Amino acid sequence: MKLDETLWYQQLGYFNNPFSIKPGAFHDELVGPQEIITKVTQILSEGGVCFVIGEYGAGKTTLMKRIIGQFKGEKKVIYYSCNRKEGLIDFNSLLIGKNWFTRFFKVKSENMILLLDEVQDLNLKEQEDLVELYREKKFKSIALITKDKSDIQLSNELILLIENNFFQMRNLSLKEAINLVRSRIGPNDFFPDRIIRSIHKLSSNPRAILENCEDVCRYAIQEGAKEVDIKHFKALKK
Amino acid sequence: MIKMDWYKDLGYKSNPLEVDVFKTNFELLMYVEKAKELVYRLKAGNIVVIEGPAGCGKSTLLKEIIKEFGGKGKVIYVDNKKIGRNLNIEKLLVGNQSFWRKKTGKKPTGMILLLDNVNFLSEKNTERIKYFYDQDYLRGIVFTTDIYSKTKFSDSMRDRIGRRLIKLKSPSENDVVMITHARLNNDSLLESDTIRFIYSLSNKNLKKHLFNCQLVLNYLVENDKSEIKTSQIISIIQEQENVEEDLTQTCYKCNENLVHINNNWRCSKCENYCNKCGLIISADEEICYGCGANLEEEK
Repeated sequence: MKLDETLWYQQLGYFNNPFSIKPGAFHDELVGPQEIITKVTQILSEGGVCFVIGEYGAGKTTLMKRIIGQFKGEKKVIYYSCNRKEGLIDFNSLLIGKNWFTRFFKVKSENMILLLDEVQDLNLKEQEDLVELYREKKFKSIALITKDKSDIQLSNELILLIENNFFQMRNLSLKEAINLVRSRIGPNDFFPDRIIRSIHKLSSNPRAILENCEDVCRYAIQEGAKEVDIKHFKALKK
Repeated sequence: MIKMDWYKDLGYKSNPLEVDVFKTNFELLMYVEKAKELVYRLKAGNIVVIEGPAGCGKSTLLKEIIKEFGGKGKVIYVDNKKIGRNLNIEKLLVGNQSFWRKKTGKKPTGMILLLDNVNFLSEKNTERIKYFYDQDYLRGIVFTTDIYSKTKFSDSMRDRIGRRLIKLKSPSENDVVMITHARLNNDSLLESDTIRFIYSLSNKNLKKHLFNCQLVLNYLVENDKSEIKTSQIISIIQEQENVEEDLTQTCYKCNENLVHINNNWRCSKCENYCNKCGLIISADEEICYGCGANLEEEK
């Protein structure tokens, strides 16, 4: 029995799903609040601490991947997602480099940029360690990322370090949504802007937009259509 | 107990009514469209949940996925029912690699993860899986469960799954008759009405039905009979206890019974944890950073 059929995106000439929801699937792309990207990058370059908040699918992890890309090659960025941890996070072990020499002699790096994702479970002891390592200049700058500020009880010391550097990721405007879709599939007649507009009305969350675009395009290809139209969009709503 | 080679007396080389789908090689008779959907979703890099009652064919669908993607070392299948609740999925993914990969610390990418019976999966583990998915170590994931709303998935994992939910129903009587006949090579060992009756006694569970059919055929072979009364079928099935063993409450490393503390399953032999809140702690800690308990006193 043949379960493998030609996939809709392959029929359109793409090798992989252009609407992948994985953060940083297309790593030079981050459509959305440019002012946040600029400010966060600036704070991290200047040695500050910031806190990024955003709904699920708003692009927090993608933002982090973009920042990693900006500092790429300098070996100065540590990205750690706290949802991996079992027990206390050992920040000192994160500072030990990856080559055999630093591992063997336990040489700690200095002036590192720490991107800490999913910090909602970060406890006070871990926050204390973090502040200490920041003061010792082991971490030059820190970005903390989570869904909601109220998910985490921040220590007073960390609040003082963050100051006013709280950034809220927001959903996309219509123009940004069109830019996102176009950055993924390029300018093509198959997927007209009017359908993107309808999809954006349904939800302006970046992840939801990508999921809906994937399903609409798939319906259209399955029906043998040369262009996505409102009929395919209605099928999605059903 | 069932005589293990009852089918040999009936001329079969292997058990045609084998309950474990991974030991059989029968063609998929139901859910062909759903299997195609799953293959698409995995290729497109999605996370999918298959929801359906016990014995409705969830594992059979996973087996089709293994057939489709298997052989390239890219598929990981885990039955959560057969492993301990304290399993760390990260260790499983990384630890399963070859000697050289372990030595170089290189993680595999583009893997497909099939997790059966995720009712037993902890929220922590779903978060870890999410991390591996986001970092593209996992290309696609399929979870199976009987009730999706009862799983302990984190909200962010649910958000990634979105509407990628495939719902399966218990097979109809006609489906079961077709499957049973196909398994028995259309040999007229069991009448269609008998098959329907056995299914009615099996709680609409196909696995249980196949097992019960084995009980009936075993009875026929042992007693050299070709027909059986319904009252006899009832007594045979009632006699047999459910033999499926739940291994989830033992440690996956040492098989020791696990302790349940504050939604954490811990092994007293393999793990060092706080007796009050169940958090993993290092041996030299004096105070639990989770609940503040004095660990020295606990010892």
